Amino acid sequence: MRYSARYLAKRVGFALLTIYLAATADFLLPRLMGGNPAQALASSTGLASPATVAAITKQFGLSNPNWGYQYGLYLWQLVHGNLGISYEYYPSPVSTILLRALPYTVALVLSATVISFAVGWTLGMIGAWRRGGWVDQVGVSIAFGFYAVPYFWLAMMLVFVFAFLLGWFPMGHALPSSITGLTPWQWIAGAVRHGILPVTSLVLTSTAGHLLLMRNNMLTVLSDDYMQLARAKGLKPFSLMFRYAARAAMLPSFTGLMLSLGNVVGGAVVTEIVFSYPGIGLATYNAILSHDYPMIQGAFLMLAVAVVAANLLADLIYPLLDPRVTLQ
Amino acid sequence: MGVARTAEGSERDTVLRVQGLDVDYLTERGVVAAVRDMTFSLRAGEIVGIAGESGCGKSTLAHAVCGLLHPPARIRQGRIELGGQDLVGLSERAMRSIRWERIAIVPQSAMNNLSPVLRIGDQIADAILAHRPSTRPQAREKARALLQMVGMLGHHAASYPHELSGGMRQRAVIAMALALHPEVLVLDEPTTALDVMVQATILGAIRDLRDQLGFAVLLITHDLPLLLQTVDRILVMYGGRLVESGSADGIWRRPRHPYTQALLEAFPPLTGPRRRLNAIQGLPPNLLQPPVGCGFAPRCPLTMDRCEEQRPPWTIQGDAAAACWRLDGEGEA
Repeated sequence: MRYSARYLAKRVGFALLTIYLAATADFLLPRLMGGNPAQALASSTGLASPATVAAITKQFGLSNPNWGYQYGLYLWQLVHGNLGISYEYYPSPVSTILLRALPYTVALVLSATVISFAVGWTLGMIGAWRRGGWVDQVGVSIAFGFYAVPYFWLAMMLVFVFAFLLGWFPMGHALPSSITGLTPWQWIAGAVRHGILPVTSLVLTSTAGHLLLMRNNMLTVLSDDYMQLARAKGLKPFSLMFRYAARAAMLPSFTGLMLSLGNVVGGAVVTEIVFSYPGIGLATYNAILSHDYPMIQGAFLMLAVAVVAANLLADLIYPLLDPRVTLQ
Repeated sequence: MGVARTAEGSERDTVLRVQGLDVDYLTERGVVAAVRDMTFSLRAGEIVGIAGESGCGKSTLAHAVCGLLHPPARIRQGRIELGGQDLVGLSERAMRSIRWERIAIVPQSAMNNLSPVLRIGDQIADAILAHRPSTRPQAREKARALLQMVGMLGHHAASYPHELSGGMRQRAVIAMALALHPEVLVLDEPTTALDVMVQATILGAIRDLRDQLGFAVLLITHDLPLLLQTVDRILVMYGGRLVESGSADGIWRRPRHPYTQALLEAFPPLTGPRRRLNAIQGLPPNLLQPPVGCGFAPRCPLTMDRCEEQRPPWTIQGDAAAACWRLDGEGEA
């Protein structure tokens, strides 16, 4: 094993500390943005009498204005695995709402992340291998063209052209409006059809970064002395490109991939708004608008846990990929 | 040219013959004449050293011989015959099957010759698997035997390059180079980054292996004294051209070209009385505008009028030869 139990314990302890600090920030952030959740809910129902507001405030457990008391209660609930009850969707527990949105978001952002890394790494690798060749020139210019376009505009244009004008894809949502009586295959086909436009929009904007990083790392590795020796050995180009060049060039990009995987549960706010996609991003956005403190805390905390976990995982996997790195 | 410049050796056991080789670098500032009119041959089991200072074209020559030149470098003309087959103009695919199988190279940087993320044994096995029908376990087993042959331990096959010293890494590369029993081993400054003791043991190992396996060695270095104790025959290059050739012993006792003389004086003797070391004054010629006459003339203490105007002829004297006007008229050919 490349890492000691002591090191592992230290890393896990540090991860837990990070999560605690994130949880504290998640408690403070919604309260610092001003406004009043009871007021917000009352206004939306049109029954904003002082008595209603007072009643809602009491119901939400916010009648004690002492943040210390609220913070204690929040932490107490948290260590018992209780994320609280949503204000907006009262009395649904936050965990229920998050778990309902999570599969959609994970399916959307995970597939977009995997595809954009796969495309970016492949084009970056081939582009560097045949520097100045057509893959390099066409790939880099298209990727940067999309990278340069404002994301929300690109997403809206995709909806406008492919959903509204051409009608090839649905305008929004994650599943067909009626899912009763569908065979599993029809269900999957429907989900894929709803996912194509949002995934495409994410892939188009995020590929350029992965492509460029891979391409530059690859160019550096290609000019290393060991590449010349590998070539002198009479290896086939395929083996040279993959086993010798890309194997070493992917190392810096790997950390980026792991961090992106952590962000998957955070959702893609703009994407989910534009495509009316019922994921975590949209839920968080609505929670912020309605001052739904427990929802905001819950969504942010889940993101923090995922990012910290992905980071830890990246640190543990990295030494297996790069023998020069040992964790002690 | 036409005349065989190297007087020695029978035709039969010649494994490598380079004839009239010119290599250019096509740069934005013009054509750099990196190697000009290089002619020499290498017999089976012979160790030939090529000496010269930085930028004299010796590494370019090494890469040309191994078919490893790539743009902006280009072979302008000449032949590189390996066992009678001309390598110049061979397709990349044809060249690939010759590389390592018949000619292997140990490049300059001992520190950076191996992929940092693959085990030593696997990097050796890759070379074997690229040329021989074999399984990876068999190739790994062969790799362990090769490492033992160059004085390492079998378990070093499981090591990564960063776990070994520079000398060990270079031994591993030599083991790798011998994996397929090549006819020619090109060593391009193989010990530059290593200390003197390691240098001596590695070159000693190469001599021993040569005695066992019978491959020919082309050893390229800027270190002339190192060549004197290691090789059978020495070629001295200056400004992309051959200026002198002779036996190690002959060059040590009677260097014919003033440049060779100057190179010998630039290194301290290990035994004998202390003497003042002489650095060679001036700079090597700019190969963007190759000199018309002798390239060494501007730095030469013995220069004459015609040195700068006319290229000196190749003058053969016994088993030695040099290109210097001072020898003109003394020659036999």
